[in-house]
Amino acid sequence: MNNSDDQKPAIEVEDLHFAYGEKEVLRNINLKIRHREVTAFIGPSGCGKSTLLHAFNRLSDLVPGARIKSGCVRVLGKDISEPDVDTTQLRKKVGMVFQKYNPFPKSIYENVAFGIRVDANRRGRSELDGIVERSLRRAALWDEVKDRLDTSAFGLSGGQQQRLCIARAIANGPKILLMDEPCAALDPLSTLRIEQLITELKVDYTIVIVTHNMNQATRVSDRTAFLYMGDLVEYDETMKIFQRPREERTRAYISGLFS
Amino acid sequence: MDSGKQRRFAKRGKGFLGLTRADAIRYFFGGNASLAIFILLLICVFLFKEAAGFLPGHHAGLTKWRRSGQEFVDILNVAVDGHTRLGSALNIGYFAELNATSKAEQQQLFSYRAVLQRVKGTVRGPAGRLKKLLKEFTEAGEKLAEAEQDLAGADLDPARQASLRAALPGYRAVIAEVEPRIAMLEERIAEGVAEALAGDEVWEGQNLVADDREAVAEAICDQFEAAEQKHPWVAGLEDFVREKKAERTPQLAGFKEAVTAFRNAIRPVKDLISPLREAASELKQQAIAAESAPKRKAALLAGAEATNDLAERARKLAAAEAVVVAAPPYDEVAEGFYAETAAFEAVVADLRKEIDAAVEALPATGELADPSARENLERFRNSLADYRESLDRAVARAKDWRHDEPYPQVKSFLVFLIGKEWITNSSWHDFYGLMPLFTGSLLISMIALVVSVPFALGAAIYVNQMASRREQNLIKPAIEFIQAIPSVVLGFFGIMVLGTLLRDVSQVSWLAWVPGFPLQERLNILNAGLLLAFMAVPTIFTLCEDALNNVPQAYASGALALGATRMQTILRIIVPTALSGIIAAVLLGFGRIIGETMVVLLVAGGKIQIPDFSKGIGVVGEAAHTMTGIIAQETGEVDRGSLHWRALFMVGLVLFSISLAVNWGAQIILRRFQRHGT
Ligand SMILES: Nc1ncnc2c1ncn2[C@@H]1O[C@H](COP(=O)(O)OP(=O)(O)OP(=O)(O)O)[C@@H](O)[C@H]1O
Ligand SMILES: [Mg+2]
Repeated sequence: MNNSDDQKPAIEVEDLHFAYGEKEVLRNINLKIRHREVTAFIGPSGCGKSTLLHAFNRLSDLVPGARIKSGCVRVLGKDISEPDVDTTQLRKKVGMVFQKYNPFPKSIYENVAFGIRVDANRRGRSELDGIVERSLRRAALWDEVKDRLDTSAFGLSGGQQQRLCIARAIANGPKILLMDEPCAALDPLSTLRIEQLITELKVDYTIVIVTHNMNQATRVSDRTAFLYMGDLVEYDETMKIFQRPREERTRAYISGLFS
Repeated sequence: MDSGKQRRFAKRGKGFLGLTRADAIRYFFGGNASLAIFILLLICVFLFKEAAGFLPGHHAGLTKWRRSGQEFVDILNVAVDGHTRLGSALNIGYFAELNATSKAEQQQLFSYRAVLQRVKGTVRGPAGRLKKLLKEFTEAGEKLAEAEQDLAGADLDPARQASLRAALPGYRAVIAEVEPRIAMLEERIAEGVAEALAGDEVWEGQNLVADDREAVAEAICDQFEAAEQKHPWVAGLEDFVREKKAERTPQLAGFKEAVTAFRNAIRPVKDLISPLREAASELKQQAIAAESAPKRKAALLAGAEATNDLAERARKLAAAEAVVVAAPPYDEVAEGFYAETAAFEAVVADLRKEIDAAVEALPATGELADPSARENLERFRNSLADYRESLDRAVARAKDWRHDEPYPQVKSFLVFLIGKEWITNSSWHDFYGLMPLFTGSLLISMIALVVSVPFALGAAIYVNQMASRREQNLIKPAIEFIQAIPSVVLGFFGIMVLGTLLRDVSQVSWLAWVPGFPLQERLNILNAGLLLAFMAVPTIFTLCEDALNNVPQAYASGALALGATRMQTILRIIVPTALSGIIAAVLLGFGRIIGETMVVLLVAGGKIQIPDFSKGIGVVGEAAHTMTGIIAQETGEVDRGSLHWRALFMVGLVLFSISLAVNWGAQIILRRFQRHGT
């Protein structure tokens, strides 16, 4: 891996103002996310966590009228706030896992292979097989599905489907993984498995996770950002945020005074 | 609804026939639903009842056809039919060759006559009046001249002289009155001719070069001015053609002789068949009469019973006595047919020899100058083997034929289901074969689907996935509006506009490579198929759009987040996910198309014949008839309860089954889709 790249932050947000139409939902965000760390976004519902996350892979483009009003977002050293950025390349570098697991109505194999299949440079069958296997192993799913790769992804349990979505993102060979409340739709046991997986993945990937679960944030993340009504209130090491928050609002939120 | 809510609902209003308002509303909608189902059931029962009567009737008809010997005649006739087809190919070939040296001139003459016909059509009114006036004028002139001559002659008796003198001014007045009118009409006609010749459509399809066009125009103007005199250009052409033909005839004498020999060879077979045909026909009439005899007799007897008038009663009784109830002499007549099989074999053997000799005498294809002649001769030679085989089969079948062998039930059903002929109101035998109608319907539907599915699906994808709000609000209502166009209007459009347009386009010379072009008919399968495609677009579009809309947004964002482009997301995720919905849409579109009546009735051409598939794709240029069309067309003119009437119900039943199967299939697919999608 390139060292000079590693010196720079994986994601760097500078004076970001983001709006849906006329409604400004993020104000003056400044944030640096380091390589191979897990960063958690916390904050009450509607404070703009997902919006910020979607700004990192430009999935915000899907919403008509959504735009960066000012400021910039640099991902892996590249400014991606310009409208003419190659989003397909960006999204291959920045994978995403959604709150509600959303495998395609295809076989398990095809789900994982999808990112490769839509890639411009084609790969042979054996190489593809290798990538699929590696990705599934990485997502700790291989042993459970290796005998039924050709069956529908819908046959898996919720937790397995979410891990399949992680494998699918990994297959693209990303540097960054964005996870928007990845465990919100899962039972406690599956949640635990995903959290384990996140800790394992941290070695190779920069992970940004949105969560409403304070315990989860403390369990998996190195740093935590607290957003409140479009402002980044506090951003620090997770330990500090949860033990000695500087801001009163942060303290109130993590102690459950409001949510 | 939980019971608390229900109670609250019920409490609010009471009083209509002791029903609560909730109940009243429930019964109202329930009643509507059950009425719909009831009517559907009624239709089914009616359809099945009427159609069910067809099978025994049809079987009885075929049995009569066999026992009366019509089947035998039809077997023998195969020899004649095939021969006629071959003979006409030869004939066409001969004349094409004969005309080869003056083809262009004949084409010019033909065009001249066609244009003349059109121009005559436009000035028919004034020309007719002119003719009448001219007659009046000449009559008056002749009478005047006669009278003057008589007057000039010697010693007429004074009375006659006086009356002649009195008549003179009358004649003069007529002449004076008619003369300017004639001049006026002549002028008007000349103008009309000039105007008619200026219209582009007059020259359409005539393939004339500019010089020829001028010559034709001049000849026509001339003809209208100096009546009855041929323009030198026309006369020249005619002379040339005559000369060339005269020159060519002796050269082709051998060819002609061979053709004549071939065509005459069938005479003995025909001579053999024609008395048999009469016998069979008569026997069948007898059979039909015998069938209704008991009924007629009973009716007469009942009538006699009812009257009090003794004379009348006696008359009716006598008439009843005269009704013959005896079975027709099947066996006797059949003996006559059996006796002819040997003769048939013998004439066929002769026929073979004569055909061989004629074929021997035909010129080799390579010797022929004209391409059409070569083509027809080639076709003749290619079909010859088939024909020889059909002769063998006819002889074998004639030998095997037994009039008293019962006609198999299954076979009579097959005659309906896969029979190649739908012949009704025939003086010989009515055949109710579904195939011509079925292939027509199917072919038209296929064209309609092939054309409409890409359009509708493409539009649905565009509207659902790519269009802006404004475009959506424009395109959707526009496409859905198509449904509001009455099909008879579309049919009219097909006849007046599309048919002509297609034919004109098909005549463009650089499009000649397209199979089926140039189109022979204005009303054809292609025309009907295109209109139906247009009609099916809204159905397929709307359902496809629904199917695409039902694909969860999460799939699209998932695909996009993996770096797929918009297009890849649509083609690899959204469309495949919606595929079962799309297939269901296509099936329902097919159901809509195959049931459509008005357009195909107006535009398909109404030819009850299996289209000629030997042309490949070009088959779409043929006229055809359809299952829906035949029902619409013939139901009005058949007797209620007749076999023909029931046959139409059978066709309706087949249509009904197809629609049912299609809808059912669509529903199964949709259900699977829903299970799969959630
Ligand atoms: N598509 C949209 N169009 C308009 N406004 C939106 C849209 N999506 C989100 N918003 C607004 O932006 C603000 C931030 O929304 P966002 O989804 O980022 O919140 P969040 O922190 O992710 O909330 P949650 O925890 O409930 O997921 C909210 O006020 C919301 O109403
Ligand atoms: Mg959110």
